[in-house]
Amino acid sequence: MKFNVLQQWGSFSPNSNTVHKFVLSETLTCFFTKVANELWVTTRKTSDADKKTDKEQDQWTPSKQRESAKGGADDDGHSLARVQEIIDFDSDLRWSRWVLRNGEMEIQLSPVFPNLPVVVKPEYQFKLIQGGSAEIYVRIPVWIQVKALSENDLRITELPSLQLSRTWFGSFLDGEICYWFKTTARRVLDEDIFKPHLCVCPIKVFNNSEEELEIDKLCLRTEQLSIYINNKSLWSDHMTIEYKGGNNFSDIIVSGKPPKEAKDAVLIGSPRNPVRKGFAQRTFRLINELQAKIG
Amino acid sequence: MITDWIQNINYEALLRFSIIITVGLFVVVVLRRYIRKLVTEHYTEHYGMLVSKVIYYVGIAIMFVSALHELGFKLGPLLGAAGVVGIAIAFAAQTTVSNLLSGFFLVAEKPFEIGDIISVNGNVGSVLSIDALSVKVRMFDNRYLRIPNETLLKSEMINVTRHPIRRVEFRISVAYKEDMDKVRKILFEVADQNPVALQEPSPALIFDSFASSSIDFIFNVWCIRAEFLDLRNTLYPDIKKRFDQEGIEIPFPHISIYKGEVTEPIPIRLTGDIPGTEKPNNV
Repeated sequence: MKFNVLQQWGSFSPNSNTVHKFVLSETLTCFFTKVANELWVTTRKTSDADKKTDKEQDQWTPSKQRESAKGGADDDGHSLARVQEIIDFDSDLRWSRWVLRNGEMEIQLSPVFPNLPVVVKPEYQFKLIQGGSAEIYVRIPVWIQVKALSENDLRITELPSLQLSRTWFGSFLDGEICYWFKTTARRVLDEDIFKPHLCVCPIKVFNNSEEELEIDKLCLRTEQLSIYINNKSLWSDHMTIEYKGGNNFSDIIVSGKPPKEAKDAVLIGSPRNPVRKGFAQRTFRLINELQAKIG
Repeated sequence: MITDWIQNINYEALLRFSIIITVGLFVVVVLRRYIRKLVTEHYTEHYGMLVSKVIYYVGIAIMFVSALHELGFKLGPLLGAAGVVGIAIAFAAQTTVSNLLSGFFLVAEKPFEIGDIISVNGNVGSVLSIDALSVKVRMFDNRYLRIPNETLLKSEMINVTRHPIRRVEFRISVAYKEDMDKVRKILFEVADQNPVALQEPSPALIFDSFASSSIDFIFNVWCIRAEFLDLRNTLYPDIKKRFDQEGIEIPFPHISIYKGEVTEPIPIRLTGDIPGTEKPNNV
């Protein structure tokens, strides 16, 4: 059985005698293979994989496979020997299987934001004086969305790059479940901010209230953000948050295009829940106004 | 007399009666099912069930009244008689009427909905249906519990799943020799690393007591209501594992015996070889 390392986001056609490996970062490695018209998918924390590296060579032929393969695979490769071969690849892995309509598959891997809003907590909270503004960069872990292009873009599954803890955002009677992620909320772009599994979200915060704004945490509605790629680094739309103070809702403006720091970036992941673009929004150059709270 | 009645039967009216009953029943059942599905999709299962029941009973009543009208029954005297009979029945069946009225109050107050988990008089289960006379509950050991509406209205009832998040209380005991600050730090780290525990509302550690053999704490951690058992079943083992790693002692009850003088130990005199300390013969 061959071993194929996928180098980047995009599409590939799995074949029956190959295990396709996609290493997102130090956090997650995904494996894909095909058995007849079934797509087999599994993941492994990359940290657990260190001891397995000797197995994962370009060519992998375990002894059991050679013995069991004597019975011969049927035409489409769906045989006991083939399944045994996959299990032998790493018995610790728990594979999930999807039976597709077509045996000829084209699978697309693309980054997508988590399926809940993300509460971002800066490790060191900062305060914004009245009338002040600040540009911050927060990073959000992305999930891998697996789509079957050969099945009318059917969404097969989503694989989180990090297991995020959750939090309750709001009051006891009125709130919502969100993911929780600690970030440094940097003010400048350093080279080490870019990780393959983290999407950089540039946010400009304006404090237009009469009080000092203490930014303890931010709830980001990532379902309305796109993901762009620029030299293997992931970026979201640029967001502008205007804090008005008191009980007033804060306005969040999502630019709908790559941030100025990555002008040449191309769209790689669409929003989960795009804001419907009405006439007024089109008039104002695709600026989407959302409401959010600043905790 | 019966033969006379049979001879005088208007077969055309009887046919109309049968058609009304058959078609009416079909329409009511189909309408009930459709409306229930529609309301459940747009609102909740609770409202779906209520609306479908109203439609069913009103539909059946209208259908019977129309059908009887076709047979020539006068509805005025019938309704008058029904009123008188109703009062008589109400006196005779006070419990039933009480349950019926309690049912109305339960529906109006809406302390729970279908699918909610409730606890009544120590019985815990998931609400299956809210009917005119009683509420049906599926208990977790799969027994079927019927609670009369009157009982439910009078009793203290806890709706376990009303709010989306729940607090789980963990009782932790450590030995007197342990550093309380270290214990606190470890507990918060364990909660932080548990995927089921919510970050906010943040966990809280409350000092409970200096007990006979241990210092007792109550550790409150929040989770999504559906993951209540997951948190209980994962955080306790996590705490035990981490305490073992850090050498934190979870004490068992200690008993100190004194012979009278305070803190003076009981003297022990050895009267023979201590078992297990015999020297081997060949040494």
